Amino acid sequence: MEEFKRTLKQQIIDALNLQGMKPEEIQDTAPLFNEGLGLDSIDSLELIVLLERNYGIKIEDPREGRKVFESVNVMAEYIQANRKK
Amino acid sequence: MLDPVYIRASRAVTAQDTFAANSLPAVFSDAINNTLSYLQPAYQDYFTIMQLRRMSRITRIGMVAAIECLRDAKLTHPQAIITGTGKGSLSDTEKFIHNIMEFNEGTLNPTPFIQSTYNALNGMIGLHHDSSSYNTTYVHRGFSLEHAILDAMMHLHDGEAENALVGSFEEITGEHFVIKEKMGYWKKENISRTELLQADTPGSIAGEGTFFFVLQKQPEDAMVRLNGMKLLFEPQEHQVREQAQALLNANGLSWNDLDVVLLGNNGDNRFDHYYSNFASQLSDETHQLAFKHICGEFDTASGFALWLTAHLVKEQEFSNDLLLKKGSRMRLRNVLIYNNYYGSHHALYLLQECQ
Repeated sequence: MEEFKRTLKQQIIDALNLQGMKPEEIQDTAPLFNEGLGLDSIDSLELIVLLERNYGIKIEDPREGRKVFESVNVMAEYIQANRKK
Repeated sequence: MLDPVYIRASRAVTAQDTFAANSLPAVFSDAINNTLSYLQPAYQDYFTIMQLRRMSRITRIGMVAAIECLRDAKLTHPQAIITGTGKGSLSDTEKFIHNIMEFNEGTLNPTPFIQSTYNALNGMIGLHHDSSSYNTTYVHRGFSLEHAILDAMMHLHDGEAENALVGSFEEITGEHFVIKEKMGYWKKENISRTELLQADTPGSIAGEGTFFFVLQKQPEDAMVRLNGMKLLFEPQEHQVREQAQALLNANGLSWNDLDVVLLGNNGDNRFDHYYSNFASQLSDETHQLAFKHICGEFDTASGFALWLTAHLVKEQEFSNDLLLKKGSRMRLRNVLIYNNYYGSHHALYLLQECQ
């Protein structure tokens, strides 16, 4: 799981073009939106695209996405439970 | 007839070092593979990494040019933000189209789509300056900047605004270069800027440029006055001369009053006859200058001529590298710009030193 979370963090960095950021700088439990990484609604859409392309998970409602993207921990658990590839 | 407007401030990001010092440099870069590409400003001085990550090359350039232009004009909230662009953010458009193909029209990344829209830069400028005033982008190929300026002139004329931030932005990409190469836009042979205007072959060199101007109704602290413009679509040569004559007459001037004429020669022997015939009626005293060997050819290249004019009138000097034909006038007071985009979109600008 730790290795998977590291891979996921790198995918987030690449998808959101977080230039200069390293995976270890994103805490597993820190909120991704608002006070944490400071992501916004467009980032939420980018993460939805990331889940679909990399794991075959379709999130139709962006509001559902905001719950899934609460933190790296929550996101990793959701992916492991729902991934189709 | 619209009232004259005044250019209070101007900024240019081009292939040359025009941005940092906000003047024409003493030394010019040459085209590489027939392309004059942007010399990019230091973005980290303006934006955080979190802001930069979602900004494309052209929106970064446009934002810093707009920010500095407004700073030069000591203006924090422009009463109108109006731009023109022939192609907008080409790199994002290409990225978005590639995405559509690669993912078979499935779920697509939102960022390139948002950035590929022509008015993305205008929105960013408005947000950055907390401005909810009139905000429009014109996309009219070789008349894009001209329509932005006309809109601003009408706003100022009608009293709907006292000032307006007006600009244009354009970029060239590798793919777009190849497409236009197939259409015969560029020279087949590699050519230097010093040889371009003498070349008797078809095609030109590609360029890119972003220009911003603060236009205002009042003459206070202005660089130059824009008396008027004329736009002609696919005219005969005599119609260009007649419309230039009409523009001069409307402002109480004759051909002999022109101190400088800036011509859009691009070295393409299919279209440069417009300029040579136009120039044949000019007085020997009038300086004839060219500019596209410095900035390259693109839809909104007349922005470079406008930026040059504002500076040469303010500073009362120009680089000999621009000279097509030296005149004898010492005072640079009345300037006419004549530019056309591949023979179809012809624009005339008449500018005058502020009293």
